[in-house]
Amino acid sequence: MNALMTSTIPPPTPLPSQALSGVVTRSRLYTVFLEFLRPWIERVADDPSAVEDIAQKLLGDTRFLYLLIMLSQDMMLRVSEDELRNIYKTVYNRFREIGIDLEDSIEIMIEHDLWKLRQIKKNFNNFISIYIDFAIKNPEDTYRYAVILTALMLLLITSIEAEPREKLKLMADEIKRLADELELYTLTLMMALEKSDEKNKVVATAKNLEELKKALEIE
Amino acid sequence: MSSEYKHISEISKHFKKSFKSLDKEMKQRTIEKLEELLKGQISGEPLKGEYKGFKRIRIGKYKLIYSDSEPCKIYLYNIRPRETAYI
Repeated sequence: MNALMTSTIPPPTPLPSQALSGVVTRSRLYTVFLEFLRPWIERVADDPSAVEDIAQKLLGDTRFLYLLIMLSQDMMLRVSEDELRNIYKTVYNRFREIGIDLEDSIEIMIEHDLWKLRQIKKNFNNFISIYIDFAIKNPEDTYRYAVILTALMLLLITSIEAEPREKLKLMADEIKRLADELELYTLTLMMALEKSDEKNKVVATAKNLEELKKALEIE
Repeated sequence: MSSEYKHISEISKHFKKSFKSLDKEMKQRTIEKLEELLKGQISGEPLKGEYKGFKRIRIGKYKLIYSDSEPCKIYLYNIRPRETAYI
């Protein structure tokens, strides 16, 4: 593979919930994935702030990428939107039990995952076209997107699979920080897909409150 | 006559339409946030890649998306709800 090819091929961008679907289905594939991830999950449980470094290491490991691709196929075929919501509800409840509110972050991740799932299932050609375009033009941002998603996936799995009750607060802080950044990617990809000159046209201007209210038709 | 903003706001068709669909309380909250933005008191987080000229400001479960890449102008692109209440 030449340098140009490697610089233009985007890294895989898993859904945070991708592997978690295995928590519900308990498939053989998930068991193998979990076994592979066990040492990394223990490290995340021990030190949640190391999750981004661990995600970067995993994105450089072909065995991880191979398992991720298979999990991705499994999820696309088997997991419904309702199941995906239920998966996140499990995580939400896990944190809520000890008084941590992750509602905003969970909603951001669900919004991302549902939107992306729908694009892949119903609008594949357009979605892949804008995604590849984004990756070619912005390799650093695309890599960061993959790191965020992988790190979130690890945190979600760790919160369910490990017993880090005393570390859940630290994990929640990491989830909040990464989910906040994830939303910027969701919005970017949404905007790229909905390009429309007509809708973007300026229809009014305002330089003070009166003009703003008039432009927005508020009495 | 109300005092002039630091920035002139340019309102897109998209923004106008999405603003119209908000309920009364959300419209009020959005206007308050727009006032802060247009007076230069707050700023959002930039999006990614070629859209980094656009920024996001959260207003509850809504996201205001705008651009300030031109001097003295703020282009209001959209105000977007999170799709549904998920939990």
